[in-house]
Amino acid sequence: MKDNKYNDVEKNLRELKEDFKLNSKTHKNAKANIMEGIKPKRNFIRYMPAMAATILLVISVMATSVLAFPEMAKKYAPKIPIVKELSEKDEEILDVAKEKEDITKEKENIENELNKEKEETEAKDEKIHKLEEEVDELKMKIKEIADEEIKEVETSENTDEALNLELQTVVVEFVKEMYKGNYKKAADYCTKDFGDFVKNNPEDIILRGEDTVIFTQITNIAETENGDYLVFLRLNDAIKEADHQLNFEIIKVDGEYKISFAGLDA
Amino acid sequence: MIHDLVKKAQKGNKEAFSRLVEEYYDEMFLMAISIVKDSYAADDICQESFVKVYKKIKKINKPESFKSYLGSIVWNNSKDYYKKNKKEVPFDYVEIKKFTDDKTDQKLELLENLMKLKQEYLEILVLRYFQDLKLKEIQKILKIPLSTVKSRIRYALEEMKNQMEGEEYER
Repeated sequence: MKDNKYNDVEKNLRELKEDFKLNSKTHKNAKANIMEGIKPKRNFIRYMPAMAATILLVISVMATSVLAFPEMAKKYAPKIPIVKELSEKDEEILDVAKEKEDITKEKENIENELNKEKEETEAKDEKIHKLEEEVDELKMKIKEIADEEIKEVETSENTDEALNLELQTVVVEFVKEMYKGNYKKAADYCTKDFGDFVKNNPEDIILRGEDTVIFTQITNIAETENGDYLVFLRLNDAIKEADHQLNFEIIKVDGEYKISFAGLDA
Repeated sequence: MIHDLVKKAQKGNKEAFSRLVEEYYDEMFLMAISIVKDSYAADDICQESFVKVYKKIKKINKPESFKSYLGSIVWNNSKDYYKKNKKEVPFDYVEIKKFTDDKTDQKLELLENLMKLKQEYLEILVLRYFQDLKLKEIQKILKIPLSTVKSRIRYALEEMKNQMEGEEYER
């Protein structure tokens, strides 16, 4: 921020950050809680009773014997349930392998079909893109707002047209007054806080120039999550070579719509 | 030195992490309390944030980005808390003095002025002057146009100036 009048404020804020210190008790408690919070969780197995652990060990030894010598087990003890299960598993494995082969073939077929579909979709997308461009052109229309003819661009849907015109009128009237140098009158279109700012800092909102502003484009209103409204206005005032844009935020205050913020777009 | 501490903490060195807590706790607490306006809540938020950061510390690729990573967690947690528990009570000197040291008392008036600002002005000043973020970084966090960032900072400083001058006038 190059503006000198805020140097003291900025300096104070930076000093606040440097000088703000917590006491040792706060530090001690915080550290203790944090270090407690970062301790790893305890391993559940440590708490398993010895008996359960022993049983688990015995079962695993028994299973391992059968698993270590499966062929012998199948030959000499085919009817033992676990051995029977092993034989069934072998057959299952063969079935799964065949199924896998079938799936691979099917996958290849599907991939080929998908590639065909992809090509068709790309062609359709291009068609849609062209149609969208045509629609965008249609969405722009010339509209009369506060005795000015301005191109309106629809950037949001389902707006109430009466409200739309009302807020657009507030914005255009505000800009016209600013360019005439009638800052107090312009401030009447604003909230109290913003109006005060406008009166004291008009050059922050509008480029100074003669009363020759041309409005080139305005958006329809867009409602925010808070119930406020946004409008964007493009204009040319012969100071800058190209159009520039002003962004407006509008809120309802005591039943009237007022500008709560206006700023130049980057 | 901070880089070394972060690297050591990434390897599981808790002592190193403890020193990072000492280094950054005051700053994070200041950010949290500015937003939530409650000393106890700010303390809880900071502690939870540090624990969260420790659990994800290995994912930090550059040690120099530890502070901004920590800051973003404290910021998000503070914002979430504020949304759920919007506090509009007078600044409590007694409460906050339980947490701060004696020398900080002189700065509490300034903190009080800051907390009286409209929430969006307060937040942008916290990001700019407490977190030392650049305008484009603030733009990404707040998801507003760059011009709005600049304007909002200006309005916020104007308001802060009015608050401070109001205090001097009263004196």
